[in-house]
Amino acid sequence: MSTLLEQKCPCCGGAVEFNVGAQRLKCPYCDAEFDIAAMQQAEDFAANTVEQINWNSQGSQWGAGETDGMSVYACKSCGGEIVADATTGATSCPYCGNQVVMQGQFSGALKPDLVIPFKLDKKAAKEALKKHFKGKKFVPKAFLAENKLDEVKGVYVPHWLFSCDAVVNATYQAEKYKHWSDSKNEYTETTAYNVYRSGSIGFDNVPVDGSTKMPDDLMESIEPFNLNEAVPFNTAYLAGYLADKYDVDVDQSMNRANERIQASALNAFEDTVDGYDSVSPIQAAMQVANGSYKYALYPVWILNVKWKGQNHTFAMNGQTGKFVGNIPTEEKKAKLIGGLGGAAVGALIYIIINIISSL
Amino acid sequence: MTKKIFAILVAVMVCLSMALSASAYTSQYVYDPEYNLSDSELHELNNYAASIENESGYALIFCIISDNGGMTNEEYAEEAYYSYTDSKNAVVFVHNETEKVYNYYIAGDEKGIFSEAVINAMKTAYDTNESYYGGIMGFYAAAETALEAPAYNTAPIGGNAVTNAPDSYVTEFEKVERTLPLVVDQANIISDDVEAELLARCETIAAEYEMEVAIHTTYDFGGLIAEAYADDYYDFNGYGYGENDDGMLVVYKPGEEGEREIYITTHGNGSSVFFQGIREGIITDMKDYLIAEDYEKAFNTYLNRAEEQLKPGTPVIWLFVLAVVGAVVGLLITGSMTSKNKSVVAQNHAKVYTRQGSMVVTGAQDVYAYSFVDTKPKQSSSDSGDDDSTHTSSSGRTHSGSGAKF
Repeated sequence: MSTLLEQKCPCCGGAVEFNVGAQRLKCPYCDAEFDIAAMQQAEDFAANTVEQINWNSQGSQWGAGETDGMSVYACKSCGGEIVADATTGATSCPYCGNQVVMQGQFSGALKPDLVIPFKLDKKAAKEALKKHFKGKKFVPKAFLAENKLDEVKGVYVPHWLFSCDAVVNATYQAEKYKHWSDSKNEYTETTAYNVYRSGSIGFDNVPVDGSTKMPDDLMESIEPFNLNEAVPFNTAYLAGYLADKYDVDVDQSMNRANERIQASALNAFEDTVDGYDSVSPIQAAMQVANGSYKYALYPVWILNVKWKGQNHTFAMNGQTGKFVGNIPTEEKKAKLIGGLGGAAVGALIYIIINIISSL
Repeated sequence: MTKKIFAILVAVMVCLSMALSASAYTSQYVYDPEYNLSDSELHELNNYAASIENESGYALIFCIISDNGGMTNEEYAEEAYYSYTDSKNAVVFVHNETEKVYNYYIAGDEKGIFSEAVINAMKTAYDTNESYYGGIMGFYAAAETALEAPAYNTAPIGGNAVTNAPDSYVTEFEKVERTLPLVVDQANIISDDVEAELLARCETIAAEYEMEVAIHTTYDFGGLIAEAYADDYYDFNGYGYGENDDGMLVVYKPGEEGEREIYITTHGNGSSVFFQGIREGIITDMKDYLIAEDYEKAFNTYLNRAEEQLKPGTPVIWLFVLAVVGAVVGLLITGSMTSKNKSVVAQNHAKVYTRQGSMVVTGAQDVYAYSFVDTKPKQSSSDSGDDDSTHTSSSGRTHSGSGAKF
């Protein structure tokens, strides 16, 4: 059983939460507010007085393999047993609603370097969802009327941040064209050049989603996050939110970062080949120098909307408010209306021209 | 001794051959000191010019020079008249290749045939042909046409005139009354019954729609390219309805595969009614019938398409075109609307994470590799439709046309 870290109010003993507006910890029971550093000191002081309560299981034992990918925690507030995914780092107790952080998920080598605290709350996420649906065409009316906001959860999503200098060596074929003509012929002179470029360009904190639970394209769609507002990791920021530890390691994530860095580095060097009418790469190679990485938690609001038994996931950048998510669309209806409507307008123009010309 | 006898025999043979070649025509009309023409070409051209003089009494002298011997080109043309012919009526045309100018001298011209427009037609016929031989043939053919159809004569031009710039050749065309029927089957490939039927249809179309739609077949373009021949045939035979000479003429030259040639020329309102797409469509529709030598169907197809186009109201094809364009635009609009419903897109670059000012270019070399010049002829002679460009005919009038060789 892992160790739970709960943020308890020193005044009334209730579970405190990270308050987005105040950017401090706040007790929802007695409204007391605490600075994160001060809270940490108070917790250290009280650590020796915390009594461990162990419960003996009287039910049947788990079968072999049944507990794979699953972890069991005990709520320190009510003693309730919390069954969670092995990667869950923070959640709330289903019995007493107490906010809990699985401390072991974020200790030692697994400790994130940085965390960007949530700046936008659940209300803002719900408002953004409504705004996201507004003005969209060819969305099934039944979806707009019947969709049910099944779940809104603030999640700290683990990200690997890669920084490096991309060293580029590239060869391009560039061409200049000159056109002229005389009374009989048209002439085109093509002058070709072999163009070489080498150098380096730096990239900082290119993020790669470190959680398999979160679709990569969904996480990339809500980029960018402003890393200037990141703070050194402290579990206090996780109170009141869900959090996952990474389950895609740095080596696996590196390939995706390389792909993105390479595309931008080669583009940047191709842009230096100017003064030509056409440029096409012949050979381009990139090497990484001074590479480093960090482990960070990014704030994301996940909104699950259920319609006709299917789950539609939307996401909002918990820092900037950028909102994304594919809305169900009546593609066939759109094509039918576009094609037939356009043809009808064309036919109408034909009729009007005929009427005018017959006058 | 043997050598001497052999030398005498050779000299006699040379003299005989010169005498024989000279005897084919009585006098010389084409002067080519720079040898741009072969002997056989020169021979044929001189024969052609001689036949024109025999029939019309006009000597048509053509000189291609690179050196005018210290004279002006006008003086050269006049001098050539006195040196090369005794004919009272003559036109001397001088092309100075070095100075790239054309000058002419007209002597007599009692009938007043060689107006500026006619001279321009002859000059254009020469200019539009790629070879010297074809060009001079065209020059004589245009002159012959003018001499045979004096209906468009204008007041004679006295003395010589200088026309250096191409624009100066575009002059106002003197309108000609049409004497030929709307169907002229010079190639004699259409049966009399069918010809009468086609003629009746052409006349009905002209009366009903105030647009002359004509047909002409021939085996000989008189050394001209199809476009020039069709334009000249239309202009100089007075085709076209009303003041603007509105109309369309199809000219067809039968032949073996690859030699058949068709050209549709339009003028006045004919050019806007029978635009490029329509002309090319007509040619496409006629082609199979022409290959099968089913001329009744071929020319009836031509008249059917012409009538369809002339019927009041916008042609039905536009309903289809507008509907298709409308559908495409509609799909683009709804496509743009539905694309806004999809906002989850993977980011395949990292531009936003570029470290500011970090880019350093340590090596930059632009090395010349090679160069080449691609040449394309301005006018294609492929079997597909020709260009749509509105062009000026030798008469200086504006025509549009499409043609094909198959």
